[in-house]
Amino acid sequence: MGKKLLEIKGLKVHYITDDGTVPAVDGIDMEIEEGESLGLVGETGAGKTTTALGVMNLVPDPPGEIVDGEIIFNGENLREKSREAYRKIRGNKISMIFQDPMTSLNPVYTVFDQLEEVIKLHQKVSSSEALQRAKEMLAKVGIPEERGEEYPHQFSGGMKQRVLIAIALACNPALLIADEPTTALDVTIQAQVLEVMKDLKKQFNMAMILITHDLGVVSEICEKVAIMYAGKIVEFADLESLFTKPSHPYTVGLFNSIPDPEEDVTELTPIKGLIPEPTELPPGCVFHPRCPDVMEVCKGSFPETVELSPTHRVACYKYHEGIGGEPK
Amino acid sequence: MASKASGQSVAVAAPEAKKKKKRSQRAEVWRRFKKSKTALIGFGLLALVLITAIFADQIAPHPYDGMNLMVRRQPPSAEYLMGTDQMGRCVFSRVVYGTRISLVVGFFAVLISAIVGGTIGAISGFYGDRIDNLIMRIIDVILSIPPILLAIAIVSAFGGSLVNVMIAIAIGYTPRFARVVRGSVMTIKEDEFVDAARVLGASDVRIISKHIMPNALAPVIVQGTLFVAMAILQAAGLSFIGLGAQPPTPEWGAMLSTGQNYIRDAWWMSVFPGLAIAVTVLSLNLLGDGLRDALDPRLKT
Amino acid sequence: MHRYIIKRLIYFIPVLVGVTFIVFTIMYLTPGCPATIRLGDQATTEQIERMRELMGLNRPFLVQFGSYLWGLVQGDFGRSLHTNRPVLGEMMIRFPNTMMLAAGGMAIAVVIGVLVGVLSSVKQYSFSDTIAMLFALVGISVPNFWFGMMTILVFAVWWSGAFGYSLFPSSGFDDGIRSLVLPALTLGTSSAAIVLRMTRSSMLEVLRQDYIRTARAKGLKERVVVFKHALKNALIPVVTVVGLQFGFLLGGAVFTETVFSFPGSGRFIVEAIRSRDLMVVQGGVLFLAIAFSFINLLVDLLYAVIDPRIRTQYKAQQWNIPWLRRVKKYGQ
Repeated sequence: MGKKLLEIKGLKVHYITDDGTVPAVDGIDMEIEEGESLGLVGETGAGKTTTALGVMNLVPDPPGEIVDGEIIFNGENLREKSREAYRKIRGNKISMIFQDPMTSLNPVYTVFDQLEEVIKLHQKVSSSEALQRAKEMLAKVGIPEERGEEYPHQFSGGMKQRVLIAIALACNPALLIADEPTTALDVTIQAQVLEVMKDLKKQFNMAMILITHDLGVVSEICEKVAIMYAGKIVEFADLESLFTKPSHPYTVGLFNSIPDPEEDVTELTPIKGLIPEPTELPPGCVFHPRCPDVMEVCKGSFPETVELSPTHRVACYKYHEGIGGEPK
Repeated sequence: MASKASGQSVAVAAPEAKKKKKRSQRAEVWRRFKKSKTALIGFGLLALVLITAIFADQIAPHPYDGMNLMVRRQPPSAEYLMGTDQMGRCVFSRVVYGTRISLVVGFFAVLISAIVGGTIGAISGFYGDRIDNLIMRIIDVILSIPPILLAIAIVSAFGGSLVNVMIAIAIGYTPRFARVVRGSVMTIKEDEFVDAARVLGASDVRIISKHIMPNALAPVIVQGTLFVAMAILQAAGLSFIGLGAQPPTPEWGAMLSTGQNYIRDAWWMSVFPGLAIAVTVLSLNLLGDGLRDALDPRLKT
Repeated sequence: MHRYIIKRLIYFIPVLVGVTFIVFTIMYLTPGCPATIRLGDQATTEQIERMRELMGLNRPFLVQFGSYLWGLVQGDFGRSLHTNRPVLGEMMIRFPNTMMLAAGGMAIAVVIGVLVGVLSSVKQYSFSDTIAMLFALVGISVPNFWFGMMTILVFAVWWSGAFGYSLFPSSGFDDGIRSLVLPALTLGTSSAAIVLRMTRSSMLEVLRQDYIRTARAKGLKERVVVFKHALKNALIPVVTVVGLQFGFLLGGAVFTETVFSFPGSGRFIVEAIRSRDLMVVQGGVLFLAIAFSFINLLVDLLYAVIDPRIRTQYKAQQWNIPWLRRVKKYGQ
């Protein structure tokens, strides 16, 4: 087991709007070791992107605000850092790539401009060295270096995402947060971009948080998985435990709603109901209105997290001793 | 109003639902309008200006053309709130009566251009193709002359008078209205209720006047409010360079033109008519901005 | 890029002909007869008829227009009815002064408008933002000739009354740059307000874009994010407005020059109006309208320099550029 790189404790991010406070991220814990990949899985609106922005300290404020919790990176609590110190970590030690590559590059600067900018910002290099480094990075993501002189609108979506990956990795970050990096792309391009990411992750030996709603992608790339629902992490486990022994009813539901090409299933069982409105979260366990195994206790308060094994924990009353079915 | 029309003349499926949706839309606009401080302040100021114009006879202490050579160029006093001019006329009374002139000129110039420009725009947007192309090219040409120069050319050719000023300004805004209306008509004509009306055999004129125009009204009102503001400024400017109202008409721009000659000895002759223009135009600009925000929150700046 | 320039140039010619046609038609429809104005009120009917023949006023409308247009191509904007001097020459003497005045006004407008607009957008809804927006609204509501009179009142009349000397001259053009200050300030105020509003709304839109988030994720200083990444994008629609405003300043100069007795082309036209010298009004207005069209052409070409999407992609079948739509909404 490696060294702990990032540890999030009790992180709460709220959006304060005219229609009320939205607890987009409501007290989550997770940790990643160096070089490890974590899949952060959940439906749209579960709070995955907000979690990522929280780590980057880029939550749009107003209306968003980090109200509580610790973000410990390399042994330091980032929340105690000054804005200036945080700035030196962003794009350098922790990088992020976003969901929509089409709009994430500045249309009025060339690819080289945008790539060199981050290199010059965080590394003490001359202009020619920065250009050299930019060319290397483009080569690494599979873009011919002469295209660096071009503007973003001359690139396809897949190419733009490669450029964004190159920008994110240009300073050798210890952690990369990838927010649904392939959802906006064509299916064939998705596979290529994922391949590039997998490859570079090994080369750079960096840790990664991969935000996705696709368990298939997670199984290919990640070692750990966090399942998120309505601002909470309901299950957190290593890949094998999660896939062999999914424990939270929501996780089980997610698996049941994936078609398995190997098995000849005639019917899928989707999770009944819809994800709740963020301003009208149900009391108790947020999942209880949709839960097939709902109990009376679930309507009272959100369950404490239970450790099923050192690498597998779940927030569900089913596993609470004395309440749920069979204790561990 | 719009949905009612389509609901009655055309038996659209579930007209009730549509009516409800439109009504709540209007309620939403009203709610945003009430919430907007700019709109309310503008509305309040404009109401004051309108009251001044309507009750000018009651408000003004002296007749606007009452000369009294004994009290020439008197500074402001209890008797003459804004002083007197070079002929001993009460500046305050003249400013009060001037409100009527500016509002009438501004409003009618914009009304004329809204009607003419609106019709041209509706035809252009509704028929599209060659007609649209031709009209838009002509409009492009007119728009490439700065409006004030166009107005100067027209008024200097046909002689200085308030009516000519009004027409000259109206010509300048006609293509702008045509563009606004054309844009909304082109979007609205794709709507289903227009197709429904056409299927039932409504004529083009009827479709445009009963179904499309009511829906294109919102942007016209917003633009119209802002254009009245600009028209008042222009009318005052034209009078200032001697092309508009002729003495002794108490027109603000003309008053400033006279006041300029006496600026060293009688500042009040220059200050107050200008303030009156600024307040009137500001009220319309505030109202127009507020209306735009209320009607189209996406444009909120 | 070349296709873009060529297309704009080809489009420019019919616009010029159209503008000429409109101005010519207005003057053609004038109830007063240029021959009468030229000869004065005492002229006999016979004299006027001979003058009409001489001036070609009896020819059909289109023939007159054609010969006017042909004259224009050769630089003939007509002659003054009173002095018989060529209008073009008279305008060329004064137009540089007007351009200098307009440039001064525009410089003030751009510096104030862009700077305050950016700060306002960064601190949206703050107290200073509200104040800036209020000033902008007042700025477009005040008639510029009155504003000019007020600057004269404050800087020339009251100031010299109180301190015994004048801070800035209130008329003429004898004091070099100092005599340009008040007129340029007067002319630039409303444009500053418009540029401010446009800059602010354009910045607010750009600051919401994904690439701004990317720039922040890189760890750039907020100053760099705002002035390098956001402003360059936000300026594109502002350039359009500045171009349009420059044209309006040429029109607005008519008033400003009158207030400050500034020896420019605007005051020249106003004097011609007062003496009913229609040929000068016609030629002068046309001259300014053509200058305005030229400036618009230059602005269109300037886009290609700022916006790489136009520079490189003009050949592409479709390009969807958000600011073009926004300009249509705000620019007019």
